[in-house]
Amino acid sequence: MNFIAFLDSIAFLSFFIASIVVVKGWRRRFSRDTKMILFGLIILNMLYNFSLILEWYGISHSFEPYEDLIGALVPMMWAFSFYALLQDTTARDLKESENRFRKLFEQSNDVIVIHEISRIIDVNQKASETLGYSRKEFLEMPINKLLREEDQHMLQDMINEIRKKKSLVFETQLVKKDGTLIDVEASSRIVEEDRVIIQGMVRDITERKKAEEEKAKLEQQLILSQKLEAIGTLAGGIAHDFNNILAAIIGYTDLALLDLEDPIKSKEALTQVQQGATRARELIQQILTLSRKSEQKSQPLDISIIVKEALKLLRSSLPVSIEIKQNIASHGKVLADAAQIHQIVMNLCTNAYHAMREKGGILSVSLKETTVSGNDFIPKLDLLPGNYIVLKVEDTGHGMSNEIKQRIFDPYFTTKKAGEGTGLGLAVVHGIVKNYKGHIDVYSEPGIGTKVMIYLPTIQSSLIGTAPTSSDANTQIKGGNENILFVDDELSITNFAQKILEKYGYQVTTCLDGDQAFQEFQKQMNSYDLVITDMTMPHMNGIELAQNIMELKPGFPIILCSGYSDLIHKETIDKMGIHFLEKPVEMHTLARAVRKILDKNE
Amino acid sequence: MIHENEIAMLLIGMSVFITIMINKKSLNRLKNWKILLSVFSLFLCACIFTVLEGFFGENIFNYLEHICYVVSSVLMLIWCWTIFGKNEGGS
Repeated sequence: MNFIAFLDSIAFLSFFIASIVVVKGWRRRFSRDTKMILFGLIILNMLYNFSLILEWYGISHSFEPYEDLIGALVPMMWAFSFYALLQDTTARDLKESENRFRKLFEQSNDVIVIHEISRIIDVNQKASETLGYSRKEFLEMPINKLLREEDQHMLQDMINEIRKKKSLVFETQLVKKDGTLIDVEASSRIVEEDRVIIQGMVRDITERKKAEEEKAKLEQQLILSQKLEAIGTLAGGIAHDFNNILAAIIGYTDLALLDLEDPIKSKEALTQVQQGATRARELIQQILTLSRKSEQKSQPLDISIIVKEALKLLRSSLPVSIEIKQNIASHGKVLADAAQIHQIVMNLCTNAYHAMREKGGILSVSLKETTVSGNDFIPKLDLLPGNYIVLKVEDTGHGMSNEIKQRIFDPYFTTKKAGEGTGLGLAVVHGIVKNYKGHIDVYSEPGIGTKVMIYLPTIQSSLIGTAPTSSDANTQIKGGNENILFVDDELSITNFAQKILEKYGYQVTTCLDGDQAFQEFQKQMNSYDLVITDMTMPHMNGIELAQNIMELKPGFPIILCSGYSDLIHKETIDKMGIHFLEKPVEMHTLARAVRKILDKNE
Repeated sequence: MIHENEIAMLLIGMSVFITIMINKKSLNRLKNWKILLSVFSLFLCACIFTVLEGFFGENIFNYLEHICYVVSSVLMLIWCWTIFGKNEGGS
């Protein structure tokens, strides 16, 4: 055997072994057709090599036509083999890709529903786990069975919306198989426009909703506790102020009692008593404003009054080492809630106080107006063009670094020691200011101080209602001779009111509780022209008394007095036609209100 | 001496090779694709040498032709072994 014949024999043997390997591993890889073609290629190569061997032994002449045919078939078989292998690989890739996506679909943490209008085409495993239906049940039911009855009519609108916008994200509630509801966030996208095939991804947000509600509740509690904390901080100062007021009232009352024979001196003393009582009433008003937890009531507000009130309150609570400078140069009005503006001033000033607590300093509060026009370029000022009131609170305290400055509006961030602050002060201020479409700017330098500027949009004068004029207080108060029923559970108040009203010529009957007053009214219904009643009384409160009277005599004039207006639902009393006076009521206010109401009823 | 069947083999082989080169990106996904391509390339070389031996260097090209066949067959055996012989994959 020569060398070439030896090589051909090795080649033949290799192909022969290869054919055995293919047969032995027949069950592995590739489709049956591909394996057949590959096997054919090996056999053809084997036969070709065999024919070459025969050629060397000189016995190939009878095989020559077959050798030529096999020779031409081998490259063709290679072409078939490559084509078959390519098809096989493509099919395999496609299958792998489908498996991968099926896995993604099935193992998704979100519910995935594919539906054609209302017919469900496919759902993943999570859908069954979340909603309780089996895959078979899903495929047999319409999608609107998953919606609440009251939402079912909206399905078609939602589908139209998805077709229009291509995708839609919304929150809704779905009905589980057991009838219970779950809160979900759904994201729907149109997959095939012609057949209206929609893919919906649904995430169960029941837990998240609960957590959000808890968080909101907690935040409310924290805000409330922050208010209480502010009251606590001011309590010392308030107590000090009250003691001073009471000392003056007691002292001047003693003096008045001593000087009963001298009307000029006793009048002077009593004027001082009245002034003290007025101051006490203002103080009460300020505390009520701060502690009020009623909902935000925006109204046109001259915030200079609130700022002044807050500063008055602060003066009594801040140490003398802190000098307060105020420059109120604006009386513009903003649409805001008085309690919230009060809170802004108190929070900013409390922060300023904390910054100057150790070394003292100057707390400057100013109020001025500014205009931001469309052409203005004020860096970082995120404001629409218009008129603004700028409240500036400046201190000469320790200031703060840039790192701290960047975090000051983060809720719960505080540089104060534990127990000294909740870290909500500036976050609350920021929230309020943004709510009013305002802006807050903070400038601070360590060791020099901090300046906080608050921009609040002013309102046009046309939006402001007519405020009562001060001349009202000075006009001559007219009296009358009508019959008034005055009800209050406090004997001193009924006595005081009776005397005042009788001074103005009225006939006054007093009662100490609602029950007694109603009986009295029933007896002489037609002789009374007006009822003035306290709100909080034993047996029957002011509203109940008013309701009973109104049933007997619809439209009868009634004045309701209360020291804590949060107890009164304004809409209710307006509806009933009851007038309201906030306690403590000054003599001239009471007399004027009585006359006004009686005149109106005539 | 040039045989017609050898020319036919070469022409068909060349056209298959061109087709392979055009679809190289897709075929690249095949397992041990480079071995299979080498098997075919060696087969094609053998075809070229067969034709060339008809013009000049008969002995040397004849040797080269048969060496190409044998290397190609061994590589084919290796490829078959890696695809069908090892215990991996499935149908």
